[in-house]
Amino acid sequence: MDFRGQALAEWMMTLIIVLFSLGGFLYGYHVESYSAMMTTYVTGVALAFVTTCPDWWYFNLNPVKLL
Amino acid sequence: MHTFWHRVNAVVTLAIIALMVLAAAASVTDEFHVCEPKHDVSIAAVERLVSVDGADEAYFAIALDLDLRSCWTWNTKQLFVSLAASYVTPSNVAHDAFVYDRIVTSKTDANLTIPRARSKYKLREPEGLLGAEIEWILRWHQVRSIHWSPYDPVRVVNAIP
Repeated sequence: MDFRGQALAEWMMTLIIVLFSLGGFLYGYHVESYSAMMTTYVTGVALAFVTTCPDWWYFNLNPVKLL
Repeated sequence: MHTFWHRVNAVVTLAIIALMVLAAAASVTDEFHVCEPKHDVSIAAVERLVSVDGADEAYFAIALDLDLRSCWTWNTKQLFVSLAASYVTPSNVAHDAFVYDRIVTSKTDANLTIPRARSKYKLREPEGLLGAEIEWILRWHQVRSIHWSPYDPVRVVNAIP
């Protein structure tokens, strides 16, 4: 992963978790169900894991040129 | 963020912080919930008022018509409804004894209409129960799923004596 990729990964994971948590809270409050809130939240966390942890191609778009 | 496990660590930490914020937010929304119960509790009959072994014992039949559905929030795990008899005996000691209680575990169950519920626990006094004036107190105690303080709210209403 190059440096730009690392910055992108950190930005992506924060955004995904915050969005799904907030959305989950509002949705769960609307349907009056804790399960709905927790399901949305866990989906967001899983999505964050899958999109940011492995070394995907979009994290290597600016390779560091040494020598 | 330069290794896989470094990123996993970051995601897990963010997830736990988000979970704490969610739990706090969900339990705080409980404070803004307005509870408007409809209650109508009266004594249908005094089933037995006898003197047993030198003490007075009383059993009651209670007519309950209670609609607590508006008190049910998304943070409620169960409602503990209890009816207590509060009276003063000639020796001037104030008593507050539970006569009937019930656990309500879902919102649809919170609409209770029981025309004749037998009291679960008898009142027993060495003397002075006969002719004592009893004040009935109906309480419902909300047990929350997420607590932010150790004290859950207990709402009290005086029923018809």
